[in-house]
Amino acid sequence: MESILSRLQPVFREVFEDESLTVDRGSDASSVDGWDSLAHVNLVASVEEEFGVRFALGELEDLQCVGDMVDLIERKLKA
Amino acid sequence: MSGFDVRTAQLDDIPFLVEAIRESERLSGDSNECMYRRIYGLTETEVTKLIVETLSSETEGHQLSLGSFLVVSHDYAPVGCCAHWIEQAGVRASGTRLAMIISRSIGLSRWRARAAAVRTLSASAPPRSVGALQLESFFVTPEFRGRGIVRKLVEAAITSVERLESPPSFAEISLLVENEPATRAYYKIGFEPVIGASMASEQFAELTGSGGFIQLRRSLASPTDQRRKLAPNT
Repeated sequence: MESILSRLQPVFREVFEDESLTVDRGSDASSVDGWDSLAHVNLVASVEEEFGVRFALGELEDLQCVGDMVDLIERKLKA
Repeated sequence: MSGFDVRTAQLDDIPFLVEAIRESERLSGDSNECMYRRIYGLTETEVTKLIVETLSSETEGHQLSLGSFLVVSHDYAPVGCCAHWIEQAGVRASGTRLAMIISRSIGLSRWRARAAAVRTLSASAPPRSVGALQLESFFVTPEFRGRGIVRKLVEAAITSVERLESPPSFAEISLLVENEPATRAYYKIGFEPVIGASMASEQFAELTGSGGFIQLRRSLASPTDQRRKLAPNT
């Protein structure tokens, strides 16, 4: 089964319009060019669409890096 | 200041805070509109809905979070308020948190349709310093102005962060340049302008009718320094 992180790669590439972008669990807003508030809104919407989940605002409060996002998606998919 | 109490905002304060936020975000000039209305293309009713939903969202660390507000009350009635929080980095920055909440409130398609206006606002607003105490949305009801309520709010906000493990070294306020009376009030309580912080653009002026933002800072003395200041000279 494809890992959550590998499914996130094309989502990030599309949102940040960078075909060579590769993210890992430690990637965050300081290491990805253009990860500002507008990009974050688009990213969350695209991730929700890709995984068929809906994040509560409170769940998004704790996100700091891609690893947090992977863990959150895993929890949502198991729920 | 006897008869005035400063406390953290509660759910019952939301109607007062809605009016306070609308007033503090009001643009000068012909339109006299709230900034949120102009940026997101909302009606007056939608602005109220947006502010109520955001205050009720149980999120923290931004200018429209209920927990960020301090309220001054007189005879149990709110007469003044301000928002305060410590600015965080990355996706926990207040701008990103607020963008997420507003996009949920007005809907993603509408949010995307207003992306150009949001970008214009972001590009014109002075960046908030990570780790600094942020102060915003000051409001005092007209009959209680000139009675030191802004000073009381600023002191309460500073006191609330003094005992943190890593207390902020300065407080920061950004406001529109047209808001001269407020700017003078902040100067009186120790704030100074940050040179070069304003990044107003023609697009921002076109969108809002404003000449941009001014950013002010005040250094926060450590509790030890303050005790030293209060000690009698020997």
